[in-house]
Amino acid sequence: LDFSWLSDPYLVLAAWAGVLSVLLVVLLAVLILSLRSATRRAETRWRAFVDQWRPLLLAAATADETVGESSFPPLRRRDRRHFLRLWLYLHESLRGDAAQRLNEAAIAVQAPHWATRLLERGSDTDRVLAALALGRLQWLPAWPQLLQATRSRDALLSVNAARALVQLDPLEGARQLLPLLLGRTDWDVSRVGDFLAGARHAFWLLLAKILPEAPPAHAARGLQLARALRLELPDSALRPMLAPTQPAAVICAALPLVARRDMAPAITPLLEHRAWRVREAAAAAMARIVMADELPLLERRLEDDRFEVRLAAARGLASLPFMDDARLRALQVSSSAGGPVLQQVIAERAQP
Amino acid sequence: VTGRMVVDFATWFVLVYFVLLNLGYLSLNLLALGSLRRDIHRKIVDELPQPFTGLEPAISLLVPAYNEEATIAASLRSMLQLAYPEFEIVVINDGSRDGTLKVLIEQFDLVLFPEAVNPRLPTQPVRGVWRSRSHPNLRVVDKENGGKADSLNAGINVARHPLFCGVDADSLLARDSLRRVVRPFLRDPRMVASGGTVRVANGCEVQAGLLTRVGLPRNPWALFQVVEYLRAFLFGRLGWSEIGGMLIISGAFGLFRTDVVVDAGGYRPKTIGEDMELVVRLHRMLRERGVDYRIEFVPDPVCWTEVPEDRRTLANQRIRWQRGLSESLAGHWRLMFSRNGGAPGWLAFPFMVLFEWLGPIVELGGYIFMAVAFASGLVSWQAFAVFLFLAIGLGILLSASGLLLEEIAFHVYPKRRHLLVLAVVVVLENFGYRQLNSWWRLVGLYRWAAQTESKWGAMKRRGLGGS
Repeated sequence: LDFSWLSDPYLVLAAWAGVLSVLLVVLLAVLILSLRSATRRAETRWRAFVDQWRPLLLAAATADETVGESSFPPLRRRDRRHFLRLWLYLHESLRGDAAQRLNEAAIAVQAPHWATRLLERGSDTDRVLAALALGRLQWLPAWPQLLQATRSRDALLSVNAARALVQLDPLEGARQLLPLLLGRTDWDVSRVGDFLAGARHAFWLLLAKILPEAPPAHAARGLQLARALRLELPDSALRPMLAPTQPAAVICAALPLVARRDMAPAITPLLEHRAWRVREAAAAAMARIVMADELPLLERRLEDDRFEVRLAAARGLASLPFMDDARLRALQVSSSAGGPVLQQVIAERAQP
Repeated sequence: VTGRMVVDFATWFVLVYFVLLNLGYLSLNLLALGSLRRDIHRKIVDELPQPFTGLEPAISLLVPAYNEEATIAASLRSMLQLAYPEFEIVVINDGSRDGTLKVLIEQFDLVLFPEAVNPRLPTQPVRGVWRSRSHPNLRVVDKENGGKADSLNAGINVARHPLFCGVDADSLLARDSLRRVVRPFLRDPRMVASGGTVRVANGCEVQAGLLTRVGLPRNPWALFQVVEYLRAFLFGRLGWSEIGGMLIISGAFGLFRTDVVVDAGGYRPKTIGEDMELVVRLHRMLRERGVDYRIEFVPDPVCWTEVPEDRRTLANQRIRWQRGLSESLAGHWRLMFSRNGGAPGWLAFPFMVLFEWLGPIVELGGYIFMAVAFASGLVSWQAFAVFLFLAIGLGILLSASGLLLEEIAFHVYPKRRHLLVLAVVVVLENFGYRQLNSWWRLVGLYRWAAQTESKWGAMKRRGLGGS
């Protein structure tokens, strides 16, 4: 078959596609080089900024007196992002007076005002930095802008705006944000747990109030956060979560919060729950509050169909102060399914 | 007339194939670019000190080991330094014939322990479970040889945590790798698996099991693989992850929900590509059940691995990978175009079949066809030249785009010399290396079809620096 270079349209098309790909390669090469050059320039500017401002901010943080505008050179507009970046880095590592002095330094360079504007109209990066800074500064006038940012689809911005609101006013922040705290599953749960530590009491109050009426998914997340914050929920909030009719995820999230002896009647039926995860969590919870006369409830779980439940029961039994090795060994001999797990926990107890 | 028809058909087929293939790659590229651009502000928050809160799920690191006496101790020391609040390491000695177990016993003060093994997945018999007296979060399962998948299943049986992470014994993990790869689980309760980017460790400086300086290898085989890994991870997997169609999570570093994997039956023993097979099976199972789930890719460079530096080892590795791909796809045809198939069934699976599985046949077939047709006068020299020009031009374009994504997001290779070397490799790999790769993949396809027995992939290693 004789292709003619100029007459065959497919060949010409393929040739042009080849030319286009070469042109695109050249374009990519230019892009890569310009990106590298831009990155280098940005790094140089950042280093120069850090060299100049780090000593100033550290001096401000350790100053005995209030720092004022005269302590700092004028901050150029293009350096604002750098300032927030460095200031936040230092702030996240400091507490007490040093953090207060850093706040004064930020106020001295008018940071609250331009950070509020950045939060409204900046790039994605600027908005996150501004939200973080306004929270650290406890700048109340930025409340509406931060509240607006919590509704952003950008999970990173919205969760950090929520954090800022809780820093500004723990009670009001937790109150206004509660539906989002429990409902926005795209918010990093670990980050939420971190900033809620500053609003433990407020969160406790609100959670205790809404928990009985909350939809299961919200309840499970609320209980998960309560556990991370080591909150002790009142009976009126916790007991309904342990009802066998609740979804297994809710019961499993509630059981680790059980710490009082009077909850034992609520846990007992859960030891026979059809979901093995519930039985496993119930065995662990029961072991924390069990009395000697209730031991058969736990011992029965050594014969459970599921390995995980047997192990939780054995671990629970071994953790009891009144359960000695001799009794555990006797159980090991008498138990058919629980023998291996009891052997393991006895060995674990013997380890230093 | 018949000859003309054959040539016409072949020309059209190759043309359409190339157009579809490159449109596919272009789309993946754009998806990856969007994802990286969107996440760029995350880095600012990443560099701030962030405490652990106790809400991070505990992780079991599963490290299958077969004849790893030379490297296992250094790898474990590096893993024990990972920055994460709660994790355990379970090494599974898969009946090694060298001194792997002996090294572990001596280096980590192991004692035999009467561990009750949860028999939730069937495996080869376990000889014993050892615990370290010096590192309470380290255990070793000593078992009869059964292959990597069987070892991972044995590891799952003793894993205590809700998430497990399969790690190759020769992998170097970044200190914050667990923190990074667990993030998708923290911000989406539907997450069932996440995988991280694997980079080439050859040429890098390693001290005390930690990567201290990034560099490029001098060995040309390893250099070609640096570019390949950039391409495969940065736009391949990230692009698929964007639309929920990721079918592969590297066995070198992947995080999974333990209960979901157990529910799926664990890793399939006697498979070569157990990592891909599991992910494809998870997609199929969860879609058939109508479960709302997510499998996500974390583009951060979290795991560094030593790649082969000689032709023979590399050939064996690629043959195995192609066999693994074939097994994974062949076992799950029903996912393709299934009613609930979604992006995995309607896009990723057909793409894999067409361009990854059958790719070597079409690619090498295309080269051979054009060469034969040219030699026998069936196509003009212009047509032959244009074919080569286009194939090579597009190949360079795809690799260069991987380099661009790397430059935008990570900038891991900081020196100007690195960039220059990588640029040269991006061009050179299209003259011989890619074709050789296609050949190896073709051999892999043949061996899969011939059903030859699978074994652990032995790899000749130079080692990754002092431990």
